[in-house]
Parts: sequence; structure tokens; C-alpha cells
Amino acid sequence: MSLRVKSLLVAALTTVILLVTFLVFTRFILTNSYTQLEQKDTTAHVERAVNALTNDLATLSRTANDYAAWDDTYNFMESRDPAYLETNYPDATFINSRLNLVTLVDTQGNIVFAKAVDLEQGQEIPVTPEMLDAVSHNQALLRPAQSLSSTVGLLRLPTGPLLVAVQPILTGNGTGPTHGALLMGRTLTADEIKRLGEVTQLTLAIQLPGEALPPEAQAAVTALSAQQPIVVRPVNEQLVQGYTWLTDINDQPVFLLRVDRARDIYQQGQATLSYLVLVLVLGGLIIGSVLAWMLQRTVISRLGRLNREVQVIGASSDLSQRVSLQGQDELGSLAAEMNRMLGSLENTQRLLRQREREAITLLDSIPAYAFFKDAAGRYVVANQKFCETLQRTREEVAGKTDYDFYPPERAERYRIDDFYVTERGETYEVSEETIGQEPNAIVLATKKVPLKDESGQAIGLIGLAFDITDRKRAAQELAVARDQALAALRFKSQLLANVSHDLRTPIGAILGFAEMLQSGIYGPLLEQQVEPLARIIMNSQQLGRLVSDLLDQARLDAGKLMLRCGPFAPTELIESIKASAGLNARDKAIELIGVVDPNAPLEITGDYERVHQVVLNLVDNAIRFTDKGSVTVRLSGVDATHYAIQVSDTGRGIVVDEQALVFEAFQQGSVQAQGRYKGLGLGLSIVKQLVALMGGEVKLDSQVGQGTTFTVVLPLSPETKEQR
Amino acid sequence: MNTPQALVVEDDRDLSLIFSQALRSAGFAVETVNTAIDAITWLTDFIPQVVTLDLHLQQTKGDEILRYIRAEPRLAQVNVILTTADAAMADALSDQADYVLIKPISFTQLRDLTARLKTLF
Repeated sequence: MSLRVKSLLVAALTTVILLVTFLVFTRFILTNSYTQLEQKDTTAHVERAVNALTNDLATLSRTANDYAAWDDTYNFMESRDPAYLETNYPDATFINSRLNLVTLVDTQGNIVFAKAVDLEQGQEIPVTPEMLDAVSHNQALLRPAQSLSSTVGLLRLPTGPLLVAVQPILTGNGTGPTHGALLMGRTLTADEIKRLGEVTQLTLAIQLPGEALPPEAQAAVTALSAQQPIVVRPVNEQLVQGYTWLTDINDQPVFLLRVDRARDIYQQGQATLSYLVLVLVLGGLIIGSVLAWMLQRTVISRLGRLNREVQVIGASSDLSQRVSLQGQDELGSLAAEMNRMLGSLENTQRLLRQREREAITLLDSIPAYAFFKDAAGRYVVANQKFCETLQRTREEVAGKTDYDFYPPERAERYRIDDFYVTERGETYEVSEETIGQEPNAIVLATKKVPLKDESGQAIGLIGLAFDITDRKRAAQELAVARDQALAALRFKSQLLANVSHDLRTPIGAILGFAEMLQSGIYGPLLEQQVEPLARIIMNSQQLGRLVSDLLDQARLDAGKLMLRCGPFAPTELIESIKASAGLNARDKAIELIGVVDPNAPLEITGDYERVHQVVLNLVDNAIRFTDKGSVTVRLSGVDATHYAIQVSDTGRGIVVDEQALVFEAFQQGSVQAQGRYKGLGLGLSIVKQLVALMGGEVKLDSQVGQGTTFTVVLPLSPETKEQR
Repeated sequence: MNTPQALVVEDDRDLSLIFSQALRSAGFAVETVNTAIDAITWLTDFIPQVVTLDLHLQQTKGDEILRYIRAEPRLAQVNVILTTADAAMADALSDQADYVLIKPISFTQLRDLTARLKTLF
């Protein structure tokens, strides 16, 4: 039901209720007032009728008094002269004074004279014994005969109601003593009633007790009482009747007087009421129409317009539209507020679209397959790269699920992944997934991150799938390259081993024959041959050590160098070093000093050859970089499990920056010194590696211009290696 | 007391000469062979005190001779000195050999070593 119909209904209903209420009250009040008015009016008429009757009685009483207080009548009561009767009570007197009955009673109550006349026929009729009986036995009627008082009233006779007036018989002066009483009676006939009605201009009726009463009269008689002597009863719309009892001379109700009246007042009231209803209905219609029209014009039509405009905006989703309603009232303010909200919504929508564009741009710029899904696994939005793979537009992808794009088992797998993410609210990652068959297979790394609302409930997910096919291939190629590099390294080591092996045999032969020459196996040497032969031997040994270094480096690289441990004495080691390096030192006029400290152990268990190699390397190195002064080799004890060998020189020292580099392979002294000294630069590197292999360590302490000290600390036996 | 015997197994002629001379200088009677077959054939008839064994022979690997010696109770007292340029192989067989000398081997080194061994007998 529209607002227009509702408001019209309300207006109509209000008007009708107001009208009906007003009418009911008006009708009640008006009817009541008119009824009361009618009651009063009818009562007044009833009283008027009673007064007319009373006037009749008074007239009758005056007539009776004229005859009773008269000397002739007074004298007659003494004389009983019949002439008086003939003269004064002819028929004509009855007819003129409308008397039906005249009686004279003496003071003892004896009837002296009685005459009755039928006024309709105009002739005397005999006085019935019932009539005489009713007169002579009534005390009220007889009282004037003994006193000066008179009696007036109604008397009930079998023939009908009789108006009676009784006067005491007095002298013409009105003095006594009383000679009896004179009674005059007038029968209340239909004619008499009619006459009374004419006089009073009323419709009258008298009903005697015992006569059958009509039902409405019966009800009226019941209602009559001392408190309510007059009762008014409407008979119908046209007639109202007033009732009252008439009492006889003994104050007994004997006659019911009824006054009939046309209901003019009531009719007038009804007419007034009808006019009022007409006026009110017309007025109500006019007021209701005006009310509805004004409501329609000022509120409903504007509301309807507002409603239509809002519906149009809602249907078009075009938030740039505005409602056109104007006005300074609440509706105008509502329209203005709506426009303000529409503006705010439009801004929000614009911002939302901007964000959406940003999100899509961001998605498209990601070098991966990227998409948003809702909690039901439907795609919300996907990036260009993803859509291109599916050969669908972005709009076609939206709202679809994986089942629309992929084989069932793959879609099912994705659905389970998605369920894990949205249900657990945890990120899910697949580091490697191969799609398709070689050579067209692609490898994907997928990450699915839950998308949560303000309450932390997962409402969807963000999926990112990176194509790592190229990376994967590159890694495989890298592995191949690494394998190749390792193979090359192994080849190099093998080559090194082979070359050095093949070098060793001839070096061994040179050295062997030279030593044999030196030892005089082939006969005594000339003095000038001794020195060159010693140099051949020394250089051969050096060459042998170089080859050994190469081989050792190769074995160290391959982790194949093994230690062969056995007992040896510190002195043996130091003497051997002095013998091996002595010639070199002598050549450079450098003093080579070997010292075994008193606290040195008597016996050491270790790889003698390797320890020898380490110390000789350090000593050769020290001689090489010392131009004058001395090189000292000192073996000393460190603690119960370790010993130390120090090689000190008085050479030029090593600058701090280079100290860390001296143990690196292929490093040899400063740049200026390059080319001046012989060697591969492997020596110190091998020293460091060998010492480490033996479970010891090597340190250097050097000051430029003052010299260098290398300290090697080694375990006394291989078993104690781990203790340090 | 007889002159102790030594066997030099070496296919390089020069080194064979040098090793023999070093052993002779140390006081051994020296027999030289350059194949494993010759070595094993000789060893079936003689019990030397010292054998220098080159691991890189032309036809047979020296380690077969070493295994033969170690498997033969008759030769239990023989001192085997491995002479090799291949340190890795020397490492692998060092448990079975009495001494290992890595080439180049000094004449004096071998002479001094064997001279010491000779005094043990």
C-alpha cells in the first residue's frame, strides 16, 4: 500500500471518526434537549387542562353559592314552600347553568329536594337511588350542612364522573346558622370534555378506572406517583401523550386525564439534527479533501518524487546523479542530506575504482601469475599474465573456479590447497610444481596467502605463481658447469701428479749420479770440481722440492695427503735442517743457527718428513728474504703436549697488509721484490696446510726492517692433536 | 757371516744403477731386476734382507710383488723399501711396507738408511 493511499486513508478515517463522534454527541444532546422541551411543554398543557377543569368547578361552586347564600333558599329550608322550588329550579335553570343534578340537604342529612335533568334531551329524568345513595352517604358532601365550609370536587358515579360543588345554606348576608347544604352536580360527559378541549385548544380524553387501557396508557399509569403526578409518553413520531390522575373529593384518584399533542418540538429537533448532519458531512468532506490535497501537495507528491529519483539512481548505479527536491522543511533537508551522501558515496566509489585500478596494475606488473580468490574458491580478479595463459579475458575469469579451467584432478588439488589456506588462515607454499610434458613443461613456485577481514577471518586468498622454469634450467646448467669445472680440477690435479712424477725420475737420476760422484765412487774429485758438483746437487734438490711442492699442493687440494708418523729426536731434525740449508746460507753470508732449547722434548712422534719439509720451507724462505745477519731455528717445549719451532730472521720484514696474504698460494713478498727471488710461492701455503693437517698452527710476527719470526706449534704426538 | 743380499726392483736404468750403488756402498750384495716376473722368480731362490720396490713397473704393478712377499712366510724377515714418485700410492701401501721413499730419492739417503738396516742383522 503506497504512502499516498495510507495518508489518504488516515485523513479520511480521522474525518469520519471526528464526524461520527460529533454527530453522536450532538444527536444525544439535541434529542435530549428537545425531548425535555417536549416533556415540559406537554406537562404545561396537562396542567392547563387540569386548570380548565378546576375553573369549571370554581364556576360551579360560585353558582351553588349564589343559590345557597340566599334568603329565599334559607327561608325555604324552614318553610318548605313548593313555590320556591317551582320558581327557582325549572328545567331551564339546569340547561342554562349546565347542571345535571341539584339536591338540598337539611342539617340532619336528609335530602329535602333532588332533581336531575338530561342536558342532551333537555328534560327532567328521575334521580336514581344509586345517585341519592352516593350523595347522602358521602361525609365530605354532608360537611357543609353542619358548618360554614364548602366542598368542591369530583365525584365518581356509576353513570360517570360528576363535578360537584356543595355550599352551606346561609342567609343572604352569608350568616348562619346553617340550614343545610345545597349541592350542584355536572356530569363530565364526552361533550363536556370536548367543550373543555375547545376552551383550552387541547385534545383531551378522560378514562375511568376499570376501562380497558391501551398498552401505552398502562405503562404511564404505572409510572405515575406522588412524586411524578404528570407523565409524558411519546406514542410515535407524530404523537405525544401526557397523563395525570384527577382525584375525587375524597382525594382518591378516580379519573385519568390524557392530553394528546402533536410532536412539533420533537419534529423540529429532528429536522435541526438532519440539517446539522448534512452540514457536518458536507463540511467534513470539504475539510478532508482540502487536508488530503494539501498533504498531497506539500508532502506526498514530494516524497513520491524523492522516492522515484532515488529509485532511478539506485537502478542506474550512477552515483553522479542527484535528487532535485528543494525546500526548507525536513524533506528538503532529507534531499540535501541524500545528495551529500551521494556525493560522499561517489567519492568513495571513485576512490574504490582507483584502488581497484591500482591493485590490477600492481597485479599486472608482477612477473608471476597472480590472482585473488574468495573463500569458495572463485576467482575475484586475476592479472593479465594469468588470463593470457588461460586464453580468457579478465571478466571471463572472474567468478569461475579452477574446475572451469583445469583437468579435475589438478583443480581438486588446488581446491584442497585453497581450503588449507582459508580454513587454517595460514600461508601455503609449493616450491616446485611441474605442469605439462617436456619439452613444453613449465615449473611453478606457488605461494597462497590468506586474505583476512577485520575480525581475522579468512575471506579468500592471494595466489602468486612464479614461473621458475628458466631459473630451474639455469640451475641445472650451473650444476653441469660445476661438474665440468670439478672434472677439470681433477684433471689438473691428475696432470700435476703425472707431470711431477715424470719429473721426479730424471731429477732423482741427476741427484743420484751427482751424489755418487761427490762420494768418490767414480774416483777422487779434483779440487776445482767439488764446488760445481755441490751446486748441481743443491739445485737438483731445490728442483726436487719444487716438484714435491706441486705434488703436495695437488694432494692437499684433493685431500689425499696422508701422514706417516714415527718417533724422531729434535736434534736430528735441527741438524738435518742445518745440513740441507747450510749451503744456501753460506752463499748469502748469512749465519744459520740451530738451537734445541733445554726444555725441548727428547722425542717427538710425528711425520718426520713433513715436519722437516715445513721447517726447511720456512728456513729457505727466511734465507731467501734476508740479505745480511742470521737465520735462527729454535725448537722448544710449549707444554706437556706441544712443542714449538721458531724460525727467525734479520731480514727486511713483512708489512702488516701483506702478513695475512703470505700463507696464500702463489703470493711471494712485495711487488718490488718480484723477480728477484726464486720459487713458485707455494712454500708458505703448503706450510700452513701441512701444519693444519698435523693439528698445529703457524703464526708470524714481523716488523719491517727488523725481521720476521714464524712460529709453528705442533702436538708432541698425533693422539694429543685434538687436545689443543 | 755372508754378505747380506739386496734386491733392487726398478725399471729405470739410471735409478737402478744409483740404488744398486747406494746398497753396495752400504755393504749389500745387490741383484737388480726390471720386471715383476724376474723379481718373483729370483725371490723363489733367494731370501734378501732388503728389497727396494718401484711401484710403477712397465708390465706388472709393484704392489703384486709386495703382496707376494707379504704372503710368503719364507720372506717374512725381508725389509721392503717402497720407492715411488706416487705419494698417493705410497700412502695406500705404507702399512705393508717397512719404509717408503718418495722420489727423487737421494743417493746418500738410501745409502744411510740401508746402512742402518744392515747393522740390525
